Amino acid sequence: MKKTLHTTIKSFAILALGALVSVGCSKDFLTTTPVGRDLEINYYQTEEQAFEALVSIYDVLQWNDQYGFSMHRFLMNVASDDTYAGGSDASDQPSWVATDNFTWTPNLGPQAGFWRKNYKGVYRANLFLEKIDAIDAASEAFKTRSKAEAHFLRAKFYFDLARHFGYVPLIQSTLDPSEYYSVNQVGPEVLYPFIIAELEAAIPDLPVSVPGIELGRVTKGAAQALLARVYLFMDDDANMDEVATLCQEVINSGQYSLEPSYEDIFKKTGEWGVESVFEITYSENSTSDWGRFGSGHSEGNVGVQFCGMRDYNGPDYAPGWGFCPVTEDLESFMDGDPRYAATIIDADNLAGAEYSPGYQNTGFFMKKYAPLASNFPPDGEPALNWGNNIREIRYADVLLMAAEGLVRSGGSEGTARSYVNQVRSRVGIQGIGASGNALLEAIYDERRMELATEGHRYYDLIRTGKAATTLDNWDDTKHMYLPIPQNELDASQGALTQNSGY
Amino acid sequence: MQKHSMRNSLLVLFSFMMFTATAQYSGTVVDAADNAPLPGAVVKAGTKSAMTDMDGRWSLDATKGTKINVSFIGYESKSVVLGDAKTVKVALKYDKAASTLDEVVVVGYGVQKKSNVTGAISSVKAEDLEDLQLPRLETALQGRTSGVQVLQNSGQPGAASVVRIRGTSSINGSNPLYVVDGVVIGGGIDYLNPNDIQTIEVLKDAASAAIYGARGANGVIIVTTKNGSTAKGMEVNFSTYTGVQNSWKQLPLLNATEYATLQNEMAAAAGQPIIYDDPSIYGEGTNWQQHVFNQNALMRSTDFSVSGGSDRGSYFSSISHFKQDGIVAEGKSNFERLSARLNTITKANDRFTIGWNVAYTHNESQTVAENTEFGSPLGRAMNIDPITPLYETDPTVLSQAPYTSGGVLRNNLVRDAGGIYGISSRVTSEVLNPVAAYMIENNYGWSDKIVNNTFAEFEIAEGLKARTSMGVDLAFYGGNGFRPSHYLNATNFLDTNMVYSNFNRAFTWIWDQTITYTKDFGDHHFDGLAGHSAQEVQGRYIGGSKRDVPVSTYNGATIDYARNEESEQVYGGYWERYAIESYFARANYDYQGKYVATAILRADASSNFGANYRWGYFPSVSAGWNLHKENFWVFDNVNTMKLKAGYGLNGNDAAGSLEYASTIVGGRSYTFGSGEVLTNGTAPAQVANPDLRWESVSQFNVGVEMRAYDWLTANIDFYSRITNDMKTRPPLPDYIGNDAPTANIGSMSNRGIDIELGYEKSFTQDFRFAASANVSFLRNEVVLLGNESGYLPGQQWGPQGLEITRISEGLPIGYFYGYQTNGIFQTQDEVFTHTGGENGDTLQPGAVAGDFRFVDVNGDGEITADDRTFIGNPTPDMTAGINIDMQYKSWDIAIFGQGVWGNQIYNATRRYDLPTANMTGAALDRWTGPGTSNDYPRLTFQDNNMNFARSSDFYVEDGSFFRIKNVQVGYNLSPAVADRLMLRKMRIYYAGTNLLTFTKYSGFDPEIGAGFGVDRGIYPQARVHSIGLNVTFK
Repeated sequence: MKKTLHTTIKSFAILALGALVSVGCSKDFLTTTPVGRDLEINYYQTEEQAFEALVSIYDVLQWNDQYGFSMHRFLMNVASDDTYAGGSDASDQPSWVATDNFTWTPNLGPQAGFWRKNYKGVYRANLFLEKIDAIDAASEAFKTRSKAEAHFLRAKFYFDLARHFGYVPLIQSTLDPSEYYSVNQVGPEVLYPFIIAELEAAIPDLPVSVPGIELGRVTKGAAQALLARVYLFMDDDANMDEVATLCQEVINSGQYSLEPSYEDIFKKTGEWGVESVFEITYSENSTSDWGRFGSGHSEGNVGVQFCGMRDYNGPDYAPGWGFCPVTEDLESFMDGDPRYAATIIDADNLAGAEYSPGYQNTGFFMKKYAPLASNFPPDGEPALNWGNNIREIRYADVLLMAAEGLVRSGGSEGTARSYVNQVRSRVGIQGIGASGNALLEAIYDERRMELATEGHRYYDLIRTGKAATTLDNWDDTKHMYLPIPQNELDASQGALTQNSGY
Repeated sequence: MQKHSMRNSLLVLFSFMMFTATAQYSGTVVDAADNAPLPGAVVKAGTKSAMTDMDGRWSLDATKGTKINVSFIGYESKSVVLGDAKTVKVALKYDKAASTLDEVVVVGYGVQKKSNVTGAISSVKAEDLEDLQLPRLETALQGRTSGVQVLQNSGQPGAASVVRIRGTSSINGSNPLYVVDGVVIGGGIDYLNPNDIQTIEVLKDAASAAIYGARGANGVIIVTTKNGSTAKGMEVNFSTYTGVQNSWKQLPLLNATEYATLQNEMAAAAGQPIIYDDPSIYGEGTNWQQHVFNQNALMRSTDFSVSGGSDRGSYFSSISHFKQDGIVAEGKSNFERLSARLNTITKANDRFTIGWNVAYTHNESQTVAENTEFGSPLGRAMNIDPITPLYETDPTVLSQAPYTSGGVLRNNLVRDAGGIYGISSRVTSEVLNPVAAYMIENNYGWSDKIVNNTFAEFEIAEGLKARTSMGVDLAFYGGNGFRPSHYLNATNFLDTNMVYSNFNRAFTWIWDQTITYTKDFGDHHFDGLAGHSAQEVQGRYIGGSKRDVPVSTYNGATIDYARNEESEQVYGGYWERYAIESYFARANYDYQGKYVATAILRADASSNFGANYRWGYFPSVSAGWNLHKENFWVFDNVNTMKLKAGYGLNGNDAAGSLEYASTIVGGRSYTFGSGEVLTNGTAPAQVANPDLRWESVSQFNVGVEMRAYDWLTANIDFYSRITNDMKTRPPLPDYIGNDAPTANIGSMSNRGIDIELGYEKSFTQDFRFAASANVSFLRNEVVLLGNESGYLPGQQWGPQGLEITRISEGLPIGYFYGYQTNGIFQTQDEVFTHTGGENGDTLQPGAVAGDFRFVDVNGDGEITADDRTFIGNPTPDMTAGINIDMQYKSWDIAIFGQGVWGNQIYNATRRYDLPTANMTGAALDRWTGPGTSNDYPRLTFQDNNMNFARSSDFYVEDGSFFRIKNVQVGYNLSPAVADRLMLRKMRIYYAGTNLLTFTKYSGFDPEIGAGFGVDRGIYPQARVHSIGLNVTFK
């Protein structure tokens, strides 16, 4: 009897204890503490966090993967008469083929990638500018400089939106959910003044040069050169003196000069050389893989993979996918120019090499961003880890812009000629003596020769009114701008209207 | 005188007693089926009775001629007349009918009598699974119950299965909840040794699954593991089998001559010079499938268990080993499991019971890619050209590129004893020499898992019990690999080798407390349950890789041994904690066992949701009517008939940790400096959504259960499941610049009928026949996605990201999306007569004879991307399984078949973007002139009409199949012979798995689990022949 009672009490005690502990877990039981990340409400408190936010704006510059392969400069090559689309066959990259042939539709073309990339950059810049002033822990010097960088980057993103789409929403602050569908599209007459104001605000607060470890951050010269480029694209003769002034400030700053040997510009050793005013940087050390493709996390330049020769087997180069084959037009235009060797690869005449001809093969390929065996990425998926920086603004371009600005504003043609001749003598060709319109045409030819396959030709053709006559199928009533992406029109719930002609 | 009467009576009594002399009788009572002694059987002789002991022995004083009655619960009673023999052996037969009526079903946190169950619950018992070869738990469910669709992800050893109970209910995961002995198993259900399973109950409808509240929306699979029988005494079992596996199908691919011929044709059609001057010199070429398949791969298993019990408790312990080699990629695809278990239940006293189950499993596996167009061995075997040899032996070829570079033979070509593996000069990208490609792969995985569950149950008072149960699931798992320096082709090579490794730990604890109360008030019976549960999941991980190990094979490669310091990469972290707390209650009521009702309410809170919506409430009600117990029931032939109906709400905890919040994430990096320093950048991951909450599934179920004629059983259920608050990411316009949050907007519906039929009859003493079939009809539809476009993109194919599946409103989930074809243009005239739209425009002006005719679905006069539409559905309309069981004397035969109908498969096995890839024999029937083909277009390198480069119904095939999944023929040693060998039972058997498959699908295997109907070069199931042995010792 006693034993049973004893056991009963023991068992009951165990259960009672269990029951006591069990009823109701503590309030903290269901709260999750973030691991490896912060909550937005707790963030943006220190200068370090502010800097990381600034870096995230820069990050967008290098994106090539939004809505598929959307490499900016390479696509602009395809749009121009410098290269064709290429690839394995006609169906390899339909958006690229559509760009080559100007058969864009709201659903077909590079527009979705460009739109999303640039607005992502705008958002991050807006967020930064909203938060930076409230960060007490950050120094004034840091705030001044970083705000200027954010303005530069925002201006650049809007510049790309303006010249590609024409009519876009101008969003200068992060949107509240109640504002999502009440945005308005504005046109060039609003966008360009905004862009100009952004850059003019940034220029005074940017450093003239940056130390070696900060290469890639915006400098005064970069902002001035970009502003000149913006004015030039607006194609308003009233602004041409601004173009000249800005470029001459860059020229006279003494920070930049022409690389003595043209072919060194695009080598790995030429990255951040004396001629670089602004580069978009890439790294071969990030071990990116296809799993991260599409989210902007890749740090490599996939454009390099694109323009390489398909299944190449031979010395010096690494294989690529055969896109951007150089047109016969460009090839014959450059024939005889010393810059030919550094611009175009004559694939069929390479010793000890073979490759598979792809779609639209001409036998000629881009050399400036060609994949080289010596640069082959050590880790990760090779296609996604090429480290070649994009030479976004070169000193040679600044010289040519200055020359054009001077001529069109009625400034000193002699100075203009001297700028052009600096570019020409760098590669050992005779100076020009033309003047007036002939000088202007000579400048345009020099631009094509000097900047071939760097993605500037398409813009030059548009702004000089030559696109319709030079490019097949280019319709000036419609192809000034890309169509607004269809998925964007759908998602905007009627806030956006399509560009005319689409 | 009185004296005389007394004396006379006594005399009479005495003489009567003398006459009917009592003697001691003894004997044994055994189970007629296997001779096992039945302890606790009751032997009654008149008023006297005795109980058999542990060995089934009894003894009684009785007189000759007395009839003794022997009975035992669950068995047919027997009467025997005592004769001269003093030892009597009585064999009792298991009474299935009687025990079925009182069968108990596990319903979650308790059991219920089958007659009182009002929800839709299917059971699979140990005897259904006995003697079957089951590598994993999911295979035990395949085809055995209606409403449960199990598809193996692939035929790779150790491959998991996709399990869907009554359809896919959410785009965010539809895996059911697995509960083993009360412990919720979050991952790695393959730790469970199927031989340890006593019963599996599948809770299919809301009324039954509601007890699991927020995780019951996709159904619940409750597994109870074995425990010793208190009746049968100690049982020692040993079983083993060995099987030989082979591929059951090889595809008719083009041989080298055919390939060269067609390649020439493609060149000519594109106006290019022919490539092969004389195709016939290539002969048959290389049979890549033969090289990739590892025929006669072995599979073996050994299982040993000891169990027993008494009225004080019971125990079950087992140890088991299973090993399987894969039929693809010899030496690179295999799986091995070692598991051990100990279950005990002890009755400390009349009121107090404690139990303890612990299981440990160790798995090791080696895997190759299963279903991807970018590198599965069979995918490569299908795409590589047959001219390339397996080994390149021609010295002239070896002295050129790609084998030679810079005049020297490359030192990292893949080679083995057979020579240097051939490199294709015709097909490129990821289509590598399949054997060379898997030879360099070394992907090892391992895991150690312990699942432990302890419970204590105390009977506080009559009918009132309290129970507390604590479960723990601790798993360590990881992977190791090594990639040697190799050169497979121009885009796939590695100059320095690489070693990598990762190590993970996951820990879950779950603690339940419940109180149950049972009370009978006359004809009314009441059962109540109230409980509380808490669970927490945590995990951590670390991993790394490094290059340049001074070894050339996996063995000996470690990160420490690698020399390239700069290449060292390390990553590590831990999971955010997941916690869930719940309160639940259930009430059962029945009146005279005729009218039954159940109500359940559960409240769950999860750490994945914000404070606004943390708690979710999930109720259900169900009722049943046992018609056969009614007085007016006149159909004697119908033994039982129950009507039931139920309605309930379950939840799906589909959110990720902190998904409702806006978190700042890193990795938004940029490179600065001449040293190319990767600098971290941070930005918000997405817009916040503080209203994020549970998905909910409401389900209505109505059904009939009946037994008739003693040999027929039938269950039919009609159900409708609607998922609401389905979590989708409605696309925000990109100009907002931040990613959209997820929101609970969508909804999905699944409707269907589940039917289970059973037939069982013993025709004679020696011959028993049983058959059962289950059939399910299902219709799935995505009702609402809540975004502007009404669709979500699905799967993509190939490097161009061709869209091949979609999720759209009004259509089944994951349907195939593409162009519709309508035959082939036989002549150029037909091209011009193919017009459409208002103006009658020529729809395909650039097409030529031999190209596909595409349908202008939207009627706008052009064939554009807007003409893509629904072209197929991966979800079957009907699934069925059939089991046949026969026993004749010592022989038993079992046949199990399973099939699906009404589904399609998207055949994405050929790399359409590589024109030089090989093709199947279907290409020999291509269009070559008018009237030659109406379904396979002309072949050309210049496919301007994009016959192959579009997603179209050309790639969609009928995916219905019926498979004879299992055939077993067994022979049981007769009891007499077994006895002499000191065995209680011995069975030798032959088992065949996947013996026959009937299907029209042209690929390797129509069973595509993880691909959701898209075949990218799947690893097929194997056909297995095995022999095995089961022994039960005395």
